[in-house]
Amino acid sequence: MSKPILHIDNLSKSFGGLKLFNEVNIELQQGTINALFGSNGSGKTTFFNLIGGYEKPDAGKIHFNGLTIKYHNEFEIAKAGIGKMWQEPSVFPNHTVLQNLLVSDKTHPGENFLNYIFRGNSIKKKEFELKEKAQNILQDFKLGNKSGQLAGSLSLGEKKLLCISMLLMNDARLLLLDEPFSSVNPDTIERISSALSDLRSNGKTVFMIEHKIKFAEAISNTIFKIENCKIEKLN
Amino acid sequence: MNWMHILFMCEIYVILSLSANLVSGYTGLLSFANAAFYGLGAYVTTLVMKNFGFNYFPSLLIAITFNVLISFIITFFSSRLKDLYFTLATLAFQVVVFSVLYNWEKVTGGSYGISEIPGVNILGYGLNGTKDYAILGGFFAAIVISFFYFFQRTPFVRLLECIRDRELGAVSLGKNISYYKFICNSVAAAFIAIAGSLFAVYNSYIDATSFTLNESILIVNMILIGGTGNLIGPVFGACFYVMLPELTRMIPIDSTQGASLQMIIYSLILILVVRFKPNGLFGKFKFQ
Repeated sequence: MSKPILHIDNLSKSFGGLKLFNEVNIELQQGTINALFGSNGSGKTTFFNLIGGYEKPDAGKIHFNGLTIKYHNEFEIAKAGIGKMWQEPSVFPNHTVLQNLLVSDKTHPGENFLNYIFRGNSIKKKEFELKEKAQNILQDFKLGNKSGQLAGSLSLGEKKLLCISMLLMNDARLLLLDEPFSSVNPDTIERISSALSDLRSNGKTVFMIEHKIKFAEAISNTIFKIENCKIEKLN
Repeated sequence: MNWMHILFMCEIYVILSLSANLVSGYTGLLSFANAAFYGLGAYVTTLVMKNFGFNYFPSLLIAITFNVLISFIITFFSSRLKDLYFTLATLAFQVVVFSVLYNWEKVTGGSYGISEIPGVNILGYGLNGTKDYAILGGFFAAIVISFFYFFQRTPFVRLLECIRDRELGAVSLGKNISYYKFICNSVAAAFIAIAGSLFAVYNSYIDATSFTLNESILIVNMILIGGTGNLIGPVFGACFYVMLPELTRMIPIDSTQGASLQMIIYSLILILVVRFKPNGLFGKFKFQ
């Protein structure tokens, strides 16, 4: 039996006079794929922003692995293991696919300025190890032949795949994916579906916003729907 | 034409433009506070040398520390600001520093400035003449260039470029953006202090009019024309701007017309570069 990784208690959020969420309670299990549906403007992206720490809730608490999200910055939450793919995948366009993955590692000693003075050797060693890890991830995501290509030149579907692989490189345990299947061709949908299933097998938890109900239903363990300021579990 | 003087000024502006490039070219923050830090470096070095009788190098260290501390404070208050708002904050800082330097007569000499600044003494040898200072300037410029040469291919700079290109993407990977802005602004402020201290001891006189907003705009122009996000662009921009007045002097017209001609050439080049080479002549990154 899997254990809960994300637990949301009585979450409420309003913008001015507009109430988006009223005492929402949900729980996500580790190693599952979860989909969130809702009409346009119902607050799906805002809900993800609340989980990722980009917005603060008015009331209620979000717990992730012992961390209460209300009290942390967005980068600390990402560091704790919640990775987010935005609707417009946030790859770094002027860097190669491989470099995008290398920069995604959160323990790289080369990103700490003082390490160049005190731990110069460990930087080269880590960079070498990371390159190997990155190449393996790219092979798994069928992006191996694009590793030297600028990320900005990839198709939207490939950017989404790259973004998911970056979250994997980042060692995210909960992946928040904002519309991973939208505006991509059937072949890429297949590749993304297969990648998400693999992530689930490896114990990662996926929570995605999706309009293509058919594709999401096919791979999701749990489906949630936003309606009337509440989030209901449909299955 | 005094080539040693031109060389020395090139060295100072290479340090300034490379430092500006660290903030603007690698993190994408357009700063107009470079002349403020330049002035602070010059004044702190001068005041420590004159009031406490320190030698040049300890005074320089104090100036560097002072600049880094000030940059910490500025970055603390501006780290959440983006794009134009950050630029406006640096502009305000530039204006405040100039006003303090210009009006705090008791300490800075106000509009009279400070004269008779002691020269540099290295192990009993007092630097004398432009050639000596050009060598000292060359030494510091070489350190700064080597620093950027070494750093431009490191994971640290790679991350800075990623922050510049897509800050939100870097945040969602758990990168602490404020930390990187702190580091960049501090390193830039430290290098700018070196340029300021060199300027003070070379001229043996400073006043606030050398550190106006115009000077900051000039430094930004250097990196706009040369290009940002790499080593060659700012170095070219700095040398180009220092050399251009000397080259226009060769044109046989009187000095008043010559000054106007210089401004026309500056403006024309800037317009042409912005129109046809928006990344600068050698740059990798375009300001949005």
